[in-house]
Amino acid sequence: MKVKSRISSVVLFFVLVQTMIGVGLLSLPHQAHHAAGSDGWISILISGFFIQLIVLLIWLLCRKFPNLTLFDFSKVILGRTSGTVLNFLYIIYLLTMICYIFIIYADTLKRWILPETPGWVLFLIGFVLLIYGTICTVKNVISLFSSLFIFILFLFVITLFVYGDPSIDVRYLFPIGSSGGWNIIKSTSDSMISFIGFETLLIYFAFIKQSKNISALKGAFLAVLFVTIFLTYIVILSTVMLSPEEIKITSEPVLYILSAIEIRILSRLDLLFLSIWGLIVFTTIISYSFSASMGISKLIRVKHKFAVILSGAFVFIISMIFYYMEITLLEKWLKHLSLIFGIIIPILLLLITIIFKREAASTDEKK
Amino acid sequence: MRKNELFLIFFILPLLTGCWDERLLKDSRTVYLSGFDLDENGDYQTTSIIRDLNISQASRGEISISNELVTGKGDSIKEASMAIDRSVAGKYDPAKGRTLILGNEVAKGDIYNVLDSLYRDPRVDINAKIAVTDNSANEIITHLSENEVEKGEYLYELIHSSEIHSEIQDITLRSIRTYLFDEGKDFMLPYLSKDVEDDEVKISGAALFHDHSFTGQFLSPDESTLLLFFMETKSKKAILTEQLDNKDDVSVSYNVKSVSRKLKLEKEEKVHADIMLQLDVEIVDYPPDHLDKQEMINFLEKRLSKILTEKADALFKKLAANQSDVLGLGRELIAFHPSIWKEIKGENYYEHILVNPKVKVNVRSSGIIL
Repeated sequence: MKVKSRISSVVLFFVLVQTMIGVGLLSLPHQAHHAAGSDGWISILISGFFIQLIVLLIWLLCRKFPNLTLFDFSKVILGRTSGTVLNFLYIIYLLTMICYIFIIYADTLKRWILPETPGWVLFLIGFVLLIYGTICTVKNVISLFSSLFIFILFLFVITLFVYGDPSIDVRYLFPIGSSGGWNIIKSTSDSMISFIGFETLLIYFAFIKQSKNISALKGAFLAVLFVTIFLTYIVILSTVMLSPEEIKITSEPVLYILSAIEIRILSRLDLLFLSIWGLIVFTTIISYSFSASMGISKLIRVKHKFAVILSGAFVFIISMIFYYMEITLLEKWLKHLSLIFGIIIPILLLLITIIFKREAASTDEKK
Repeated sequence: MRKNELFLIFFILPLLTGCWDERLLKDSRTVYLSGFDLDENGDYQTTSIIRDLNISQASRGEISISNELVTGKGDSIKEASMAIDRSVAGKYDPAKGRTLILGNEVAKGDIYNVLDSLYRDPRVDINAKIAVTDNSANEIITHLSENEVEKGEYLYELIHSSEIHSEIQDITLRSIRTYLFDEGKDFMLPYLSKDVEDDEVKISGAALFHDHSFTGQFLSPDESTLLLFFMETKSKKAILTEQLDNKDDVSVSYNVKSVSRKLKLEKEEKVHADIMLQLDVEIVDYPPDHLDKQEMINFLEKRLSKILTEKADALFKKLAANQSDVLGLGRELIAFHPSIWKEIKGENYYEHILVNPKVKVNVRSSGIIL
């Protein structure tokens, strides 16, 4: 099946940025510090560079199958049965990601601003928003994302107020490289998690105009660059604000820092930040569920609307179960899952296409 | 489609979360000022002033403010506040406290024990100011509740204006935690005392901390201003007065416009820290005048540099005696000389550091007359 609507590569920038910046933003400095000490920002930079390479690989894979999404060309590469199995796994993976985001989202909100609100209400709101945001065409998704992009800039502006604080100490960044080169490189596998979202490119590349041309990559490259810089900035900001031992026990450093900032008429900037962050998280959720429902509709041949409701219901139920039974399984497996589905499988697919010379043309012959 | 949207809106409306998480002002008893003490048995005692807004129906909604002094005891700070909660009508809500006072005994122990419960609550205003008293916090608060109407605000403003004049370090509940968890940095807090003659609460200096506890020593406002110059963290205003000549009783007041510091750390027997401080000052009060002559300015610069260097020497001796590394030399070593730090690190690393301060004063301006 070929996709109908076309988007330009510049718009891909917004889609990717909105998908990549998400739920991990708040705890990122804490995790980066956990992995690489005060050199966390270096490890973010390195993984950002690494992700650029992965994006290049994904493009090399997708350009062989213009106008086809992952769910279509997997069958071409692997054959009908194993292709279907892979599609199924990808759908499950995307839905699990949404569950994870839901849980972290509800947990953070409950701890920071809504302690009395029952958890299921937050999940229900998430469910409704997910369906409302996803029942539409790719064009609608894109216009939503590009208009919400302003809020990411807004997040950035809020953090600028931190510089009035007298306790900023640049010395916390030094000595650069104290955790040792090898440790920093090892920790990049941890910081790669903060970039997940790039794997949706496997689907979105199908919508790009002239995806064979290298200029199709422009948007994706810029998006990864933007996210890298933004995340590095957030990590550096938290590192200079909090002493090393303190970051270890602060799970959401960004919020913690902002909660102490007071500008003339406003205090508690963390609440402002959280509400905007909520929007950004929902764009991630919408992006994932859009991809997942597209997969579902192709897998069991139903309409997009029905697939959306199906995936929404699945996410709602599973995340509620995990949340209330306090299963932390997801967190543990997430890193491995995202590495497998974001990096390893695309590389394997690329290798197979190159070795066995699979191309989109071959599907048409079979049909 | 229209129908669908309407349906959605009706579906979402009851979910608006404010319904669960509302906290009505009329139900909670808001705290404006809290103090913590340690009694003989090792129990914590919390003293708070609760402010009530009484909106009278009779006189057209006129608002009157009344204050209530409450105390509670417990093994931990949280238990003490639970004890208060039981004794007051409504819910005791310590979140809005603008100022916290640590009694002398509490400050000499590990102050993180007191602050921990505050950091765990997302609603606490971590922008609050903290101060140490020379006696018990209870006494200060009792005094304030009798004499000052705007309790919490009064102390807050008192501390804030001292910060603006560079007399004490700008420190809040949030930044204090950064210092507590930093192995290479100490801090100072405003030191409150009750003046017997004036019957007023005053800031008599800055209490020196080492690690997590108060050393028992405090710096005078002049000394702490000088120390803030060495830390390069002075605020907008910093006016100092020095006596130039003991015999003639001539003194000069000057405002420090800008500060620049050069720090050199070298490891010999001990770690030598040579600090060169350049102050650009503006003369604000000097009756003998003659500032049109270059010699006079040179004389002033020389004299002030000498006086300040002597003062700085005394200051750093005092810091060394208390092992209070307010300057953050330990952090400097960690950041730029990790090999030296590796040799001396430990709780009492400041013993190994010898500070050699030098101050150079440059007169840049003298107001609108010469």
